[in-house]
Amino acid sequence: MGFIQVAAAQSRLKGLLLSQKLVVNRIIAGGLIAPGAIIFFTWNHYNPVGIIEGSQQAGLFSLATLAAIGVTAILGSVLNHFRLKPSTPPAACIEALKDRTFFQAILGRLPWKR
Amino acid sequence: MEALINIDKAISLFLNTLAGRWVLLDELIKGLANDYFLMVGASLGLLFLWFGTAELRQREINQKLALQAMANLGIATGLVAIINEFIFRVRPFNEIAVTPLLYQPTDSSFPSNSAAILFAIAFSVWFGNKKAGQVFFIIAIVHSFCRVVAGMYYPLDILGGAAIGGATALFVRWLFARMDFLINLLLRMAKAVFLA
Repeated sequence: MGFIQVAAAQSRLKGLLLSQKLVVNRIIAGGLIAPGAIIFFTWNHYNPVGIIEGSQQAGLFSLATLAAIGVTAILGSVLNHFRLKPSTPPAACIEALKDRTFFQAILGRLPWKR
Repeated sequence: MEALINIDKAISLFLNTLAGRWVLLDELIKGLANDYFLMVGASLGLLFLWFGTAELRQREINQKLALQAMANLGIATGLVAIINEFIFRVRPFNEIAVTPLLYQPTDSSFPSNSAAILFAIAFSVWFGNKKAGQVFFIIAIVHSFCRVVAGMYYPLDILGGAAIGGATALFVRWLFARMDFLINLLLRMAKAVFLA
């Protein structure tokens, strides 16, 4: 989630940001990245013989990534719902999240909402 | 061949002299050489490549590169598993007097699986985005160097893994060029739900 925050700030996808203030967003991203980085860096210090098989690792990473994207989309939509007020129809790609939340973009796509 | 293997062992022994001297350096090498820190870091780098590009056209290129890298790491891992069915090389800590810093795997030392994966990602990205590719190369080189210092691999194992990663990257790039319609369809589907 921390990496998604950094990436979303870099590409100005406001709808995915957990805070529109850059400094606050960086602090949130750092706070989300640091614990995971420390755990992975010191893994073999605390688990000298503990390893996870490659395929299992790939599966866990994919699940974690999907969960992070899902949680970011939900939290971003809730936190930015009143801040972002799109007046035009959404672009047909992730570009839409530059001025609207994920839910606003999905709703904008629905035919009866146009 | 014998001479090459002897040089390989001599380089391993030389690099391993860094291990077991200073606690802090050992911990740094353990952290950089383990199965998770830089592996997950490289994978997160692909996630950054997917979401973190502001310019529309470059984003689409980066997203295709991320897909290529993901396909490539799977193919490279599979190829290493096939090669391991025919070739078995004993690990350095079982053969020469090195100080091992990490756990001691029982599978073949040649070719290095972790080097194949990280170089597969690096080559895949580098073919389409030199700047981002260089970052992934640094990750692959640092991880591989630390694995040799930690006594897990010989330098030739790393070179073998890197060669596999490079060769499969070329193959995946060729394959993607021929399956462009399928990749575009996949991206269109992701675009429809605002994920690409």
